[in-house]
Amino acid sequence: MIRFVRSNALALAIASLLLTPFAAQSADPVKIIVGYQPWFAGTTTAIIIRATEMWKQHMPPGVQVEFQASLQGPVIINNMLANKMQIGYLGDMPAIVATTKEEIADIRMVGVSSYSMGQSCHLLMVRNDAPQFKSPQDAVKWLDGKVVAAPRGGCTDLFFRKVMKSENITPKEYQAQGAETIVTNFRAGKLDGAVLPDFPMSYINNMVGQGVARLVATGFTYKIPDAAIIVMRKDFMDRNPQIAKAWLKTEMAAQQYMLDPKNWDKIAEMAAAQNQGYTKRQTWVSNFAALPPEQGGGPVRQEFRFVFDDDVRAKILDGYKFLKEIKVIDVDAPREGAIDDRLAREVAKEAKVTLPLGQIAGESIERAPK
Amino acid sequence: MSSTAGGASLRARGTTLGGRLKASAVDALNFRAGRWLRSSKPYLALLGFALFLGFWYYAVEVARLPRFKDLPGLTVVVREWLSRSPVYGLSIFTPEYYKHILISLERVGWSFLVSTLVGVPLGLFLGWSRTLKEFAFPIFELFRPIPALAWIPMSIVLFPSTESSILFLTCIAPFFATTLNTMLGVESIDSAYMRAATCLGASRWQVFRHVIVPGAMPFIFTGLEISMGLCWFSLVGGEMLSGNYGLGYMIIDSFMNISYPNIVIGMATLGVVGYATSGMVRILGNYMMRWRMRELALGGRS
Repeated sequence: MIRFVRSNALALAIASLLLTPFAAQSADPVKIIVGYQPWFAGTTTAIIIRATEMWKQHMPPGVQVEFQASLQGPVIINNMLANKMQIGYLGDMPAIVATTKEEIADIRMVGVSSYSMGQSCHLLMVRNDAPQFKSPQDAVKWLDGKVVAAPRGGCTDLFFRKVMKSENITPKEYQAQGAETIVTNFRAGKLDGAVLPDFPMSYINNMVGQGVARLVATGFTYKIPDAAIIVMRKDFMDRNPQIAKAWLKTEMAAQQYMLDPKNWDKIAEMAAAQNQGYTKRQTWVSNFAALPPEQGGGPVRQEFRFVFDDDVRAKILDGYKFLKEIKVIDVDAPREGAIDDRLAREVAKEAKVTLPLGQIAGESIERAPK
Repeated sequence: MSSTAGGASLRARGTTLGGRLKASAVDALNFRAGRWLRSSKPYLALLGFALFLGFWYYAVEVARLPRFKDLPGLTVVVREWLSRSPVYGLSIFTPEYYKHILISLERVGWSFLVSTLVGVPLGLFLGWSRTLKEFAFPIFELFRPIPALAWIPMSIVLFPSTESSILFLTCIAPFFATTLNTMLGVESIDSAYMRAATCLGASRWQVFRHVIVPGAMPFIFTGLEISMGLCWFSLVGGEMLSGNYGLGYMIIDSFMNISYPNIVIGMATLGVVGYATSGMVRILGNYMMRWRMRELALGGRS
């Protein structure tokens, strides 16, 4: 027996590893892991919650929260599918994709962290030496036959494809690139245009950024909204309904915190601290500044809808159709339970608040901290 | 003329030199193929694949082992790969799939060529000239461990086009492998051969051409085989810049869209194409070093 074990030690070790159930790394209900993208203006509430530890005021005792910053939405989705994260803050398109992987895990959209008429994610930029345009529509038409980039399958991709159809333009090349590659390509002069979300837009624009590109149109120009969504694993919600609800209470508190102009400078500081290389001025402009109307700026910079009202639902349904069309997902509508804002509505009702919670009209860039 | 079947074959193909050479090559190929099929090699290889695929199917779809059950199953991947209307848009029936392969093949071809044309001469000279080695090798070793991904921002700025940036990123790792192996090949040559050649009146150039280069060939071709694998290895990082086509782009795009079956299809395709191209390098090396194959055969190690 001992000789058998010695001579087959390696095989036995591998077999025991495969056959022994692993304890889920993050299934412990006392510790939850939240994934978010600190560089995306639509999910600034996650930045606030992390920096102020606002969750401590609402969570049941004994709960620990760990935040993991991700460069990209898919990293958050993959971690949630692997049960290494329970809560995620995502752009609208990645949130939709996350709900279509129910054969691996049931992930649901449970709340709306931000909504706007294309002022957070649908930001069309051109290289700095492009001609001056009379209108945002002229700028879009100029991109016919040019080299343009946007992250594929994201809110930026949806916006530009709709715009291409609307203005009947065909770029010479339409490349799928991540935001960081787009920024470097603009700097190297290899792109004529790109669609970026904020904060990257403010980082490179010629208003408060490095001046390698300039904003020419937004989703407001074509009335295409964008949104940022909070997603949760259903098994987490079922096992820990109090914690899930407490998180949404925290989210509501963070949105109300963001609506108070007295906090804007502090919020900009928090965002800059969590984004290496960004200045407080850039993060302030990304969240609170009114974009110039001649560059596609609208009267409202951000709205805090919190739940999936008719406008947000319409946006999400449109997103499903778009993603099915470009063969990212195989359904053109949400499955039952994919949009599940019952807890968020309960939180709002118990707090006796009117929805939407409020909106940020957008201040002059001159007010941005230096 | 021989009265055997082989001789009849030769007569049938004519008595020209070209005809006889062609007949001889075909017969040799037939002989080798037959011998290979009669050996255990193909059957052991098939068994290896069967065990791997069997484990994948068992772990994911039958036993649903922890950490494996969330992976895409073998049947899911095969169904998508062979579907006439694939859910995620790519299968053997979609032209885009072959476009990804051809574009990656082209990029790997150019990267391999560039890394070989630069790496082999550099390796030969580094091995041959002590002065050059002392001058260049430290900086060579400083850059060697830096992964291609770290070069992405620099490559975008340094090179005028996206394609040249991709080629640069794909070239880096194979260039270092080729150069190092070539250098080691030169250093492995017994100095007695060089002294002997010099004593017999050979010039430095003649020593280089007739002793150094052939002597380093086994190491050079080992390096080239590794280099071809590294080209494919680096392609995924390089094609992050691609923006539209390529197997590496396909894999990254599938990751961004959480299309797990397409990730596996991309990986498997890359593996198959990479295996085939590495095999081609190996065959070319065996052909160019026929003298070595004969020596090994005489030593009973063929």
